[in-house]
Amino acid sequence: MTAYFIRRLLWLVPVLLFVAAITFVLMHSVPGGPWDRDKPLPPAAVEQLNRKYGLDQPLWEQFGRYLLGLLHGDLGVSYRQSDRPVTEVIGDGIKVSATLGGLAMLVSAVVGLPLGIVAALRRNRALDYLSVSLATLGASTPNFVLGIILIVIFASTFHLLPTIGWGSWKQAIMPVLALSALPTAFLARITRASTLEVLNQDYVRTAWAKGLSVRAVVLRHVARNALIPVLTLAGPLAAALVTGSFIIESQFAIPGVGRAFVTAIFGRDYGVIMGVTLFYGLVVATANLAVDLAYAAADPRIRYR
Amino acid sequence: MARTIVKGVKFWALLALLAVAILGMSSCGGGDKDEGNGVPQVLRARIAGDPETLDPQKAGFATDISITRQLFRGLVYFDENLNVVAAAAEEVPTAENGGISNDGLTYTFKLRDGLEWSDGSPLTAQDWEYSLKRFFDPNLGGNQYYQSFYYVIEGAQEYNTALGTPDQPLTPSQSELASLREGVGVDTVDDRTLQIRLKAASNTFLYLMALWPGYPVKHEAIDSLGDAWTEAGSLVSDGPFMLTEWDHNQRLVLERNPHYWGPKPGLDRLELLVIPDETAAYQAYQNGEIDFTVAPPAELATLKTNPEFHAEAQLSTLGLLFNTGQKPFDDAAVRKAFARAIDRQAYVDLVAQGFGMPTTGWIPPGTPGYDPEAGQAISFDPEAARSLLAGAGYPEGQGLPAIALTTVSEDIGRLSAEFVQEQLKQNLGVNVEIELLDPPSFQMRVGSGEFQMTFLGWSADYPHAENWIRDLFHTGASGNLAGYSNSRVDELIDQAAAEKDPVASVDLYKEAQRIILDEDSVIAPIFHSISAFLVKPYVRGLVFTVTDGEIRGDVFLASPAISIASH
Repeated sequence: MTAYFIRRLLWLVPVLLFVAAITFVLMHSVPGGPWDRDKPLPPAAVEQLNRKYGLDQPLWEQFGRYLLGLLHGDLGVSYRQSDRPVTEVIGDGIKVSATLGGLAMLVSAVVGLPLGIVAALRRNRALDYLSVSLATLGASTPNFVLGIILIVIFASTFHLLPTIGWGSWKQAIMPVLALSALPTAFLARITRASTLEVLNQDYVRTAWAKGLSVRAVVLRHVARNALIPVLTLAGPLAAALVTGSFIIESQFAIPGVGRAFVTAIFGRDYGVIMGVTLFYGLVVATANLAVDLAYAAADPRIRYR
Repeated sequence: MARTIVKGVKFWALLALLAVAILGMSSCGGGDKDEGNGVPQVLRARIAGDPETLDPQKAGFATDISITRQLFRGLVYFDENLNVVAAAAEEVPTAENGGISNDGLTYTFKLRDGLEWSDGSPLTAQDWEYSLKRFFDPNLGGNQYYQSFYYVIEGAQEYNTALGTPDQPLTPSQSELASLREGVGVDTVDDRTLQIRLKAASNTFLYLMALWPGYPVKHEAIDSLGDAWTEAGSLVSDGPFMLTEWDHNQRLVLERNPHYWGPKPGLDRLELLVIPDETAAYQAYQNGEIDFTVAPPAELATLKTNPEFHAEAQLSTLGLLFNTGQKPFDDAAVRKAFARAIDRQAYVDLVAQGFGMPTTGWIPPGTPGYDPEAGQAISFDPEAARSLLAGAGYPEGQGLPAIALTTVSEDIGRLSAEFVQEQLKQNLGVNVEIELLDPPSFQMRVGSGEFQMTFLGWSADYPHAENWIRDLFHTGASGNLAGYSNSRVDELIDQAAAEKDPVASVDLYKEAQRIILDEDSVIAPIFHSISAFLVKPYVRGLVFTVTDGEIRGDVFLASPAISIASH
């Protein structure tokens, strides 16, 4: 198990290297550069800036220097934010996005999982229909539309919540709700499906037959087994939430990493683009690893070597 | 299984209760009201992005400029009619008061007594000498866009270009650089006297001194902190406000600078919130979270009658620019034919939704050098356009090469391009392809001259014809994207710059504009834009000018007349 874990961690290095190389080549093959302005700069000034930041050197050399810096934890500077270190620029964004995404994930799990289990237990009854309708509605409403609905209700009509910014719990309510609708619906649906499957298993019938309490059957025998397929999907879902949503971040003027990423692409802010892509790569790879480990914890039949 | 239902019900009830509790709590959350004595004098405005820099010698973007205007003040500044008036200097140098030497080459600025930085330390002529010389440092970084405007200062160009050009890079030694820096014609005579030497007389130099590159920065702060000197807590400035908070990508807070020499601003505090999305900003405005925002184009029709709605003319013009180095626009007759095929009034009505002034002139009203008669020869006339095109050898557009209109893939660029495409088809029978590019690709293509037609939008850096003609149409000028060259125009521009009489100088620019438009038709001006925005009625005393930056009214936000009424 430990050996497996270490092997997987080591695999992260070539994976991230590959991500870095692809991003580096793609980003430099797009026309334009970080010095483009409302009013175009004279070519001499552009050359000057390129020289200052080493952008006049061959690509492979730039890439080499970037990797060398990376080893020292130096991600370079943002060309668009007066030379602020990239670690600082995306660090700020990551904190915000991770908090927003983490809260949304928490809401989804707290609401979605019980909703799915309850629906399965009350299959084809009113509660099930209600749960399935809610899930369908949640899954089919784009988060920005939900965002608008929330704004209309909580801001425009009742003036209860602020529509922009980040920092207070009041500012978090609407974006978290808007962002969690889809994963909630998603979790509820797969939890319901896999719970139904587990409910038909012999060991569940045995558990009922033994006269165990509802609580014991549902929590120890049903939920635990039903959650294994849910975990597979929860990993990437959490990764997607934590890496930030450009749309929700724009709608509520939240300074997250999603917004920073899009701004950086339009501004050809190479250092920030690289930093965010590597961060995304790291989060997705880590989430997958975490899922694999969680399997083992949830299902004793799964063993890694 | 009955128990599960009960549990389920409990769970939902609990959730509902929680929701009610949260809503209840939020509704009693505190507002920004001051208790007792009146309303807090705080203005909350939207900015579209985090400032790229607050370093005045590096600033170039509208947002950066808007904010540095609040934080810093130069030797001279503008009054409400955009005349140059004394600021940190005791008076504006003139020939009469001895501030300008007889040959017009030496300017002497006498500083006010007792000037201080926002940290309370003394602000002297040395600080200005340091800042102006720093501005020309070839290793300064920043975008180096505005430096060439100031090359009239002795030695400025030599120092600024010390590293050579890309083709011929130079590698001066540290001591050579130091002596070039010494050679820049800015000298401290004593703590309160600064002298600037020009290499040629200039009638726009005082305008330039009123702009951001002429704001002082503190030597010690930059030496010890490097680029981080502009962060809140480190930034020392000399203007009406000082930076107390900069939460990057979220907000900046500026508070009144107690060490400022000038009249006490009406506002105690400025909160600038970064809201890139216009709709989100409008939403926040409606919800009372900001006092000030741009009117979203989609809402213009309904907002027009709103008492909070303002529409202010800007010193800005949009035109269709022809690349004189590309077929078929190497022929002036073709350019003129295209220029005459565009109905400007229709553009304002359809694309600008009424918020603009149709024009055939390039220099906008409000600028010395504005000529209401400009561009008569390229006014809208489809008949004349067709016969011009036939005369150039392309009757009904027959024989024209493929033509593309290259523009930026943002809404207004796309709409404008579609409009022009339609006009050219209708009025000239010419089919034009639209090429939409994202901003960096666009700038690269246009900057390197790889385009046939494009839109050129220009906003004034300072209110003078020079800024509209010299930097765009002089042979080899940095902004001369059309590859335009006419020795007569160059001559007029050079003469105008040297002309002592301001009226005669402006007349020379008018003549240059006439040639550029009527004879050479290198650009077809379309309209002067009007900026539409919303201000809450409780914000009193704002003054708008034609040179406002990102934050409307930014030139006079420090005015004592501004107040926030109760609301």
